[in-house]
Amino acid sequence: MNAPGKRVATLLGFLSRHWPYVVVALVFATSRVIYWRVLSIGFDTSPPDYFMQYVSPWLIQRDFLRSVLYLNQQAPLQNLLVGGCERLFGTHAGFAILHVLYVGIGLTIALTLLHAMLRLGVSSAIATVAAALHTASPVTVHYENWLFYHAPVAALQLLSLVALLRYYRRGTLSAGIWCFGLFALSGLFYANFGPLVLVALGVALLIRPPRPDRAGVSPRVRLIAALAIPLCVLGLDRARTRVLVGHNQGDAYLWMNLAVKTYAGLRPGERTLLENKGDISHFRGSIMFSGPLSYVDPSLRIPHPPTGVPILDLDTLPAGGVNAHSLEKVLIAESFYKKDAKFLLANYPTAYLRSFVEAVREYFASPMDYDDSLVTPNRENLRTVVEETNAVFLPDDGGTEWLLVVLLPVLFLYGLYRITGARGALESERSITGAIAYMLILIAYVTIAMTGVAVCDFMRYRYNLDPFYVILFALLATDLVERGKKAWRSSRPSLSSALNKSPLAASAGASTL
Amino acid sequence: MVTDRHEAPKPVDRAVAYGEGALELAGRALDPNRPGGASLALGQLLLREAFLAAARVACKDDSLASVEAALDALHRIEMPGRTENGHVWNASALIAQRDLVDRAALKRAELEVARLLDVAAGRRRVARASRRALWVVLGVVVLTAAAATLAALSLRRPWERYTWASSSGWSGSRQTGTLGDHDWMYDLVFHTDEQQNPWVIVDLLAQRMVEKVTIVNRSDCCQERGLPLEIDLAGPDGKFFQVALRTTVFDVWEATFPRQRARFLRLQANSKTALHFRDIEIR
Repeated sequence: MNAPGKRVATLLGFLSRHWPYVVVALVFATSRVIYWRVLSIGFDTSPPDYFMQYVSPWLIQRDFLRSVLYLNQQAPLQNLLVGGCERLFGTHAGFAILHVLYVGIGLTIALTLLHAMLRLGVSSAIATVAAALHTASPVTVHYENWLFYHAPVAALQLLSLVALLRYYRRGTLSAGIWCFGLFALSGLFYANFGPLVLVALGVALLIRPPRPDRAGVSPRVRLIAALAIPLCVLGLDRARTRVLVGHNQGDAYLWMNLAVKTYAGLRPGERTLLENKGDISHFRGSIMFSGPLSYVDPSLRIPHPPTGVPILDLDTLPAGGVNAHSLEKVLIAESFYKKDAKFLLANYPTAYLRSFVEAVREYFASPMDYDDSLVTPNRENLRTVVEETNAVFLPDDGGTEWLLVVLLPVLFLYGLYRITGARGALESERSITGAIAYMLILIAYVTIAMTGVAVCDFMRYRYNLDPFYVILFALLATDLVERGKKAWRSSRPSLSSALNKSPLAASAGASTL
Repeated sequence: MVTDRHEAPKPVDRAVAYGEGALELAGRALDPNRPGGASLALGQLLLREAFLAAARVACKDDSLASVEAALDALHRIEMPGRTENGHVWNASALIAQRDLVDRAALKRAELEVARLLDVAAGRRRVARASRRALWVVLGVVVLTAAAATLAALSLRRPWERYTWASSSGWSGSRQTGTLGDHDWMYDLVFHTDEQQNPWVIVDLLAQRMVEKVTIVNRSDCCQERGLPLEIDLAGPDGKFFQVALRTTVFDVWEATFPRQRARFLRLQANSKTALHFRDIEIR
């Protein structure tokens, strides 16, 4: 064969082996061009200007590294990434680089989602269609073009899942460190994925650890060793806040959210009476961190001696804007919101329950339906596409998307069935069981933690779980197709059907697969 | 003799151990996440070995050399757990096939061979796992349904839809509304003027059985008002009859009385006073 012929043969061989990746990459590229050119979707860089998750741009320009070091209620990496790009390349070029990075993250999400499905035994056709639909979805495009932590966290968790499958394949310490390390990295982008979640994942995987053909250390000991290093990294991040600021990372948000959530379930008159009687402070149900301290009732103010660290001492910034990370806010949360949350939860559990039920209802909605007050050009430009795709995939009955209400719990139950059932006991299912357990733990944790603690935007938090739901859906669809194929084959004359015609086989019924 | 008894099961144990080893290796070969993907041919070969080992134990016959021979032998003997013989047939059929073998078919065979080895070794791991999965899924469904029902029952307040009308409204307060509406300052459902024998009539919207009325008094002040307070019921004809009377100050008054069918409920104070309550629950 001549050289061009060889090249063509190599290319055809590559395409025949990797066609799902090629198709999904092409869908990604085509859809992005359409979204950018036709629907004018651009990279939304507005969050760092005013979202409470970010260090203010003024501080980034003047006291960047120290501000990130003393960041007390948020995970540091998103700020380090965005602020680092701004400082190294300037605001304009920095955002351009971040845009390229986020497009890369989008492609990573698409390909790792596909790769995980194929590794888990999903049929190539189903995996390709599922990954292509997820990639071309306006929701995915919106989050990919939003300079926020969601896209990096989704990518890191999918990479961690793929690394987990690799860990099951290889069983080495380094493969384990990659798996847990990538998850820990997502915890440094988003503080909710803390050390306890990592430990829960590790404990679940200890039940059926990766067990490749190699002698030496026990697989369980190797898993614990692989878990130790990422756990230390997450622990050090938590210790940083405790040591430098004197308060635990996330505590202030936890109590503030619980107080506000329960308060929201009370009747307005009940709130007034409780405030007037002095049972609760005059916090008025406000999410204090996003506003200036001048909005807070004077009775809640807790002056403190200056620490000398601008991010802890400043309330508003000379260039305007609010510093969401000042120490006084943490002190107020821990002094007043904590006491109020405890009082309200103890005396008004039905108010909390009312807010929780509302949260669960909102959880089953499109991730595009978060906070309506955040109007951005991308949301406006995508509105028509979202409405049309929702009309097809998520028929809306008075605000409740019943397809999601039914499908998401069914997928969770299917996952449970796969890991606890007879198939879960098979050696060929060891890696699949581990991967499904990983996904179910994250789904359960995020769902319970967000609906139980957060005060709004529940469907936005679900965005990071949607790839896992897509994977479970593809596994279920593959199972159903295989059952259909089996039924079709058994109707044809074959050795299998001849044997199945025996009275014994008939009495035993069909396989449980 | 004791030594003989100890030695007798050894070939069986060896066969089971061999079968389990072959099954485990077959599982690894069939794992789609294996390096290079699942090896169906190797998986099928190892499954045959595991199947033959299990059949040897079940038949107590070391001479079995092929899947077909194992199949015949298994067919002839009384298997422990007779109802599972169907799985034996299915497994052997799938393993015996040289064409039409795919990943899902081999996974079914793997499961069925695992069941057979379980039976041969006198264990119930696979059967238990099947039952466990059903219990786990059922348990989660029942727990979720129970939690949802409890939440719905705790939050259910049907009386909040009932409408009311009062004899007067204090300083611009409403004279009609529903029991679910509360004012934003004092959390009151209604507030009449100070007058002789003020009253509030609640329309239950239909004839209902009533046996308990809970009245939550104003909490910021003036709890002595509205006394003596009587609760009257009436049918569609509007003829009221008294079912409860309160003469002492209260925070929460839970008035219970024999079950009555009623359409209207009236709260009336028999003095010159005002009525103002935070909640009226009618069950």
